[in-house]
Amino acid sequence: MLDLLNLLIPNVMSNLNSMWIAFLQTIQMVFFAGLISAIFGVFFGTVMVVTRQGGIMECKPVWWVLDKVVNLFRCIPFLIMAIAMAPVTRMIVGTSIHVIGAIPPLVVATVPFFSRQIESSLLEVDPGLIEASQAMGDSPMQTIFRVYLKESIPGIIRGSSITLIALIGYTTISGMLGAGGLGDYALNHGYFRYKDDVTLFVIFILLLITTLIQSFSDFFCKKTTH
Amino acid sequence: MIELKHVTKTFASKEKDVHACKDVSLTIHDGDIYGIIGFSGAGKSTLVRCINLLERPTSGEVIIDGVDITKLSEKELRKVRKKIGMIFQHFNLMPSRTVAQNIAYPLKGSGLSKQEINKKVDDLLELVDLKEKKDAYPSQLSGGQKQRVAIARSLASDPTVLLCDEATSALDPQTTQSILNLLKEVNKKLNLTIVLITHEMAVIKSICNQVAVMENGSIVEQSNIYDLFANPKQQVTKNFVMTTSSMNKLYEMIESNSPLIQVKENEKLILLNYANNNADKALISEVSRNFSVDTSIVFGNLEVIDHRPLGSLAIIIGGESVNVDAAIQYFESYGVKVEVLK
Ligand SMILES: Nc1ncnc2c1ncn2[C@@H]1O[C@H](COP(=O)(O)OP(=O)(O)OP(=O)(O)O)[C@@H](O)[C@H]1O
Ligand SMILES: [Mg+2]
Repeated sequence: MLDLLNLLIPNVMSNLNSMWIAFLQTIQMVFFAGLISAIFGVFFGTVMVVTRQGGIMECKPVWWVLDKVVNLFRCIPFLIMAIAMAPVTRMIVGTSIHVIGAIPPLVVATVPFFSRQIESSLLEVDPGLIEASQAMGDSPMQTIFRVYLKESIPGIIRGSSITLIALIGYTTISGMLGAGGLGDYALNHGYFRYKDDVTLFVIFILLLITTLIQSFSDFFCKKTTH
Repeated sequence: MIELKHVTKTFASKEKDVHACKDVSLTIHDGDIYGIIGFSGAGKSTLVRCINLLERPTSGEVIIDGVDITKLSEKELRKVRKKIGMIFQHFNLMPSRTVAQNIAYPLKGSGLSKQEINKKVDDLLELVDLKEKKDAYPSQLSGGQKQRVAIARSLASDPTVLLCDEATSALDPQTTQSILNLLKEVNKKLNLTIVLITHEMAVIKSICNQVAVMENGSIVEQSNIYDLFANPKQQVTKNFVMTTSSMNKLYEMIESNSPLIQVKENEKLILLNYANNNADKALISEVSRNFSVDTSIVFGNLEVIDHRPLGSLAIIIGGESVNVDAAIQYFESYGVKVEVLK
């Protein structure tokens, strides 16, 4: 087995440690940026649903501003956003490199994306359920938690997995800007040194992670759909 | 008691305003099963949604047990809503929750303990006859079963009023009847006031005691169920009444000159409209005997509405024309409305 790996991916095996560090950095970026984005994404996604016209807490100005801001951020390519907001990043976390410096741009890019995912999941909730909830005397907060969020769990899971996969894509770009991780590893250990096996191995790992996320998502979707 | 006073609801849109309800006033007494019938777009749903303020009237008052609920704060309104159950055409059960969880939904935050909630859910399941489906999900139920769950859910917070918006429109006739029977049962058992919206006169006929007919956003006719069927005044009402009677067959026969209703010389085809209690007197045989006329029944539609008989009978009556006229007068003297058709 070891012989086989040495043969297939010699340049990965010869420096396993840097591969492992890169992997952990990616995981760290995904985990922290994902966690923070999840909170903001659910919040903004829900606000966009309830404040829109005909929503349970209709408030056109709030909806309008959020909608436009989300669109604005979604049309900026991640690389450009990360560069452009470097000063802001330094203000927030003190540096624009390393894992910590990657988190703010990752969050800023992921939140609008995830908000839209949440928004579209919640919009799929049958308006009849909202009506029933209101007729039963629920407050707007109860309607949000007991109907909108609870009844769209499968959609939220699906949206989360799509977002997570997109987020992993962003982290590889962060890697090029000094955050480390698998993107940086593939670039600096593979591409610049003409070691193709390193690049291929990174692809393999990303494929593995993506498949894993997809399978978890499918499994939980199925479990929560009745 | 529910009183709507001059309730108007206008939906403003860019092209033109839609007047869904126009100056609607009506009174629904405790224990009534109050039917509101009208064609699609008449404004029935809008009107019933005004009763629990899912739709806020543009103007007018909605008075429930003496309180104008349009003046209440959101919080007070939510309290009132808990005492007004509602069921829908498409059931609106929460798909991620089991039958038991759906029924328990309105009980959250009611201060009941877990055991008390369980007990209540079991009692309600018993009432709607769905005990074995307790842990099923809505997707595993038939339409009729879903509506039963919806009824149980709407009764969980011990409401005094139940609003039904086309609650049987998605169901087949047999299931419809069983749901209507259940509604009748809860009306009696719990002294629940029921407001029922429908476009089917058969539904009205089978359970309502008061009816309002709605057209283009206005109530055009309002009366108790018997008078509505015995004495419809507006054309819409007449059309609705017709839909549940087989009398239109008679008119078809007259139009097509059917051999079944050919009248010879000295004969007349007359239509007798019975109402109230004159249906139990042996009028036809009496008339033949006392006025020496021949009568033959060619068509009839007899039914009992609100425990009172109501019917129409088409007969061919023959004999000396003086006798025939006297016979007709005799019918009329007993309150039977006589219409000479031919
Ligand atoms: N939210 C709304 N915005 C604009 N117009 C509306 C709205 N709700 C209802 N209407 C309009 O009000 C009128 C009455 O609608 P409503 O749903 O009350 O009719 P209905 O009698 O219940 O009909 P149906 O039998 O089809 O359910 C219709 O013309 C409808 O288009
Ligand atoms: Mg309707």
